[in-house]
Amino acid sequence: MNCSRCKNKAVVELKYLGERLCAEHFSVLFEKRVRRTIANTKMLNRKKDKIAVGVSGGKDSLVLLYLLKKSHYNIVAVTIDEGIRGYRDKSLPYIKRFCKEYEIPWKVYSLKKEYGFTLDSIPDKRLMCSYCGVLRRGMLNRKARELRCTKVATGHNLDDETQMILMNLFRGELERLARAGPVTGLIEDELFVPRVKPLRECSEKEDVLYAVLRGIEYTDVECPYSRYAYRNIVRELLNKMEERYPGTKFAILKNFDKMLPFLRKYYMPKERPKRCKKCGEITRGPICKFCEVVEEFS
Amino acid sequence: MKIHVETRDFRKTVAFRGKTVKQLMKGLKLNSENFVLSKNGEIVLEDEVLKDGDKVKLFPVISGG
Repeated sequence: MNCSRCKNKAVVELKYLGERLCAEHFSVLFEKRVRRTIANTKMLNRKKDKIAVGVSGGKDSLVLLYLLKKSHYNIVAVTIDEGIRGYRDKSLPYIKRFCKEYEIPWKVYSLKKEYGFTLDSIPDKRLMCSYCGVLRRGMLNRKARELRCTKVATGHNLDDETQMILMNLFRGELERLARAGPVTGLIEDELFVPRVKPLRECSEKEDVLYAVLRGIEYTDVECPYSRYAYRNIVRELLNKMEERYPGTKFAILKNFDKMLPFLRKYYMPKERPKRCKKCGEITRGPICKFCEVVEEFS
Repeated sequence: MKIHVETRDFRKTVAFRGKTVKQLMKGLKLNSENFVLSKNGEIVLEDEVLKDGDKVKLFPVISGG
């Protein structure tokens, strides 16, 4: 089968576009889409922003790092080592190799060193993804600020985003949805470094393909705790829908983007955010979620 | 014919009587939607025809990190 745009051999069929593309045309389309996401949302500024890129060593984060480096953004790779044996220890060499090859500064921060415990030591595995999310986001925000970064960029892809949208809808967490989007956060605050997601319009499969075509070596080791995640059920549901009705995921994302201004207006806090009594970070209650988790397990 | 198959979870040589990568995947009880497929180092579509001794590598899409 040939590419729909030239005579070269096709490497991918994009059913939602009704096209088959060769390696060259796919790569051009992929890069153009990421540039368009960045431009349309004004999420990054090449001259003004210093960007902490959250890097796990997987396909998404390394593709993101590769593209931002290629586009000459001011970046620093940041990895949070949560202490998951057989997972994080296996991914660190990939990041080290990548950052060395592309001359990207890389910082690793260990949960164990900073707070005295690892995720492996948490007994209730069912809530692991929630704890991990709170800890990783909290540490990324703190470290990005220490590094004087103005943005945190993460490799969330179209699949991650549509799963997040449905999960929050299913659970009735509309306020959480209002804080999501291409640039996260409802309010501006000196302590909060906005998180951006330049790959949010690229599917997980497209990220893998782009990484393989560009020779990016990434780890595909699964997190041992991911089997406990509610996300897996939503992922399965969405993949079935996408297979039967190509374009479903993209439609969900685009419609969410249309709803976002209304959600944000509705949930905009009337007061300035409070400060955590323990650490001084932003919180809604007297103590922030990050401190609650740290206190419980350290 | 014999096809060498490699993915995250296994590496093996399988006896194959079909024609395409899609049929190979079906025989292995794997959904080709969940993988990027390569044959002898080149990315291919699932309707790619196989011949004896081909090396098929499957890149899993879902990493769960």
